Amino acid sequence: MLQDRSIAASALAFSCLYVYATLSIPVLDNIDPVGPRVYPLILGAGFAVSSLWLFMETVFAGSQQSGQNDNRQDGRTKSEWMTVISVSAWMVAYFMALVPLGFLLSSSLFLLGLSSYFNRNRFAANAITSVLFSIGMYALFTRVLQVPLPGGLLGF
Amino acid sequence: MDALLQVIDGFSISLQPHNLWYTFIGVFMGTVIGVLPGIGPSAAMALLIPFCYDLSSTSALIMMAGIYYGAQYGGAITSVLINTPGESSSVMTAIDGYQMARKGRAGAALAISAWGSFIGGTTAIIALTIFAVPLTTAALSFGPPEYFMLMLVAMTCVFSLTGSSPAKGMLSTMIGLAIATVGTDLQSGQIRYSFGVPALQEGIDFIIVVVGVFAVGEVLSALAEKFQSTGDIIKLDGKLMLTREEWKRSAKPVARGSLIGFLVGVLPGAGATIASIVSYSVEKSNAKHPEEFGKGAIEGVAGPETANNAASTGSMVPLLTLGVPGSGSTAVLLGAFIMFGIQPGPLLFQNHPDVVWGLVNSMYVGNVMLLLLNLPLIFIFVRLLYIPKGLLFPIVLVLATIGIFAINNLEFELFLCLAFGLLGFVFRKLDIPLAPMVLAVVLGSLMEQSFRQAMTISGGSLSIFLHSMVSISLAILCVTILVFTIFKTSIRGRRAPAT
Repeated sequence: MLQDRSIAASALAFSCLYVYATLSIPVLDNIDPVGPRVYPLILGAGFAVSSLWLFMETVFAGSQQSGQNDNRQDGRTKSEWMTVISVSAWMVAYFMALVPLGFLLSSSLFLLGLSSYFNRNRFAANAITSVLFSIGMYALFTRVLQVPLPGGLLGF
Repeated sequence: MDALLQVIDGFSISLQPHNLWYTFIGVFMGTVIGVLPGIGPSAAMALLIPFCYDLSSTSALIMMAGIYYGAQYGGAITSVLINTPGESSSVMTAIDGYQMARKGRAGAALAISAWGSFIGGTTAIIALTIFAVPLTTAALSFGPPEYFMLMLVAMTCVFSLTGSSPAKGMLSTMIGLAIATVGTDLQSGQIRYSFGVPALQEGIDFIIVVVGVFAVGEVLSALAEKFQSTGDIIKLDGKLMLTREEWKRSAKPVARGSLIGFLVGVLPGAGATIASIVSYSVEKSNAKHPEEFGKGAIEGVAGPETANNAASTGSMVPLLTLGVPGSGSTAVLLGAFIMFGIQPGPLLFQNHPDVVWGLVNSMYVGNVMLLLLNLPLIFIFVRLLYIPKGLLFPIVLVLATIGIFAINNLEFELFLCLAFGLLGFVFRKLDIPLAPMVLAVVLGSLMEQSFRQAMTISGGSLSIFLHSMVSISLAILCVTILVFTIFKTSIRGRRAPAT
């Protein structure tokens, strides 16, 4: 319940920001009777309506669900967020290494890192799959499909 | 007569060897995606786009559509063998399919799934072939105001029917529409919401959003939950055959499932999942022994599995004839059409009859291929259930990276994709449906264009949206859906505290 009200409040705040950004778009005199602002302003109003609707839904639903989140649930959510943040950080590192290291090296390392954590105790299988998959994809895209991928340190 | 010749010509296109090959790749990959829980057809189609740059538009669309309807077949395998639906549309199959498997009738459950899917899918293609031309003829008179109202109705349907809260669905739609406004305004040339980032001046490519929220978001959710849903796999042995009694019991559910699936599939927002739920309810209420449902009734597998396939084909009707998709998956297909410079809608049948009839007729062939893949070759797909998810999900992330990097070779777009992945994860946690947002991203610029064109024609008067009978009818329909949705949620809200 509290969560849905927070979503409604965030949506309302976002609608204010969106309208503010819309009003900063310069309008030129031309044959277009509407201009670049009107449609986004309608969307801004739509955000506000959806926020109000969500708030009304929480009012209709009553407060029977409040306080149901126990400590175990909180602990699970925290652990899930830790996993998501860690995987995202690893992905950011991968994206940053993609051009300088090249697709082959960076993808092999990325796959090896993640599979070592999520598919534990199978290092050899993980390593072989990581390297072979990266080589296979690199060959498929650069040689067969003619889609360029960064060569990087290995330079091919 | 012309239309008939075009339909026949479509067969000559879909039966060309290279198109048969792409149909096969599509339906094969669709079955694989259907079997693997955690990766849906929308993500798979989006991931496949970079592989399609070199193909003709017809071949690429044939392959992508194959993934879409092929996934409905594969979803049944996991529902029956591990009680975990590969796709949301196979949820109902798990109820009785898994119970049949526990009683040693896994082969029968999978056989009726395959046959039901084949019959439902083929019936729906025939219906699509019959109804497509009359619908497009009616839609040819649509101008910008009618198109704007049509898109409004489609989006209202989608956010009203998807997920548990229509308000969250509407919020999701608004976010999608707002994303579509980023970039250069085509009419005035003004740059909107790029915040000084050059890469945003061209707008946000729909592939980045789709790959982000579906592929990256789904993988992040699965990794965060440490793949909790995987259970024991029931061994599939014996023949994939039905007894005479089982055929007799399945005949009517399959016939009803085909009809229900097609009709529900045509409605925007309803789709395969709702079709399978409706079919299950109808079968249970029509059954001589309703107490058997939930304990392994074959009618509970035959009806929903037929309906979800018929619905996936049925949802191609509004996409192809009106250019308005009714779900996240068909929105991705629309995006692919646009990427190849083809705008679905009534003119598609006039300007590109080869593409559209080549695509529709490939679905007949695809369904035959799927029947063969899902009966004698099903044992191959069952092996996929043993692939370690801890290895599979990181591979999906690499495929997503290739897909996004291949668009413009920009690192920024990779970070943007990750941001959408995180948004997808947050939406799942907060129970906000993703399909309305993706639909709005794909339709957003068309919707604004229709709105602006209509306003230019009328000299800035909103009354143009109520000038023709079509747009008035669509406006009434839109208001009716909204009133019904508000009424339904308020009733549900009042009942909730008492339960």
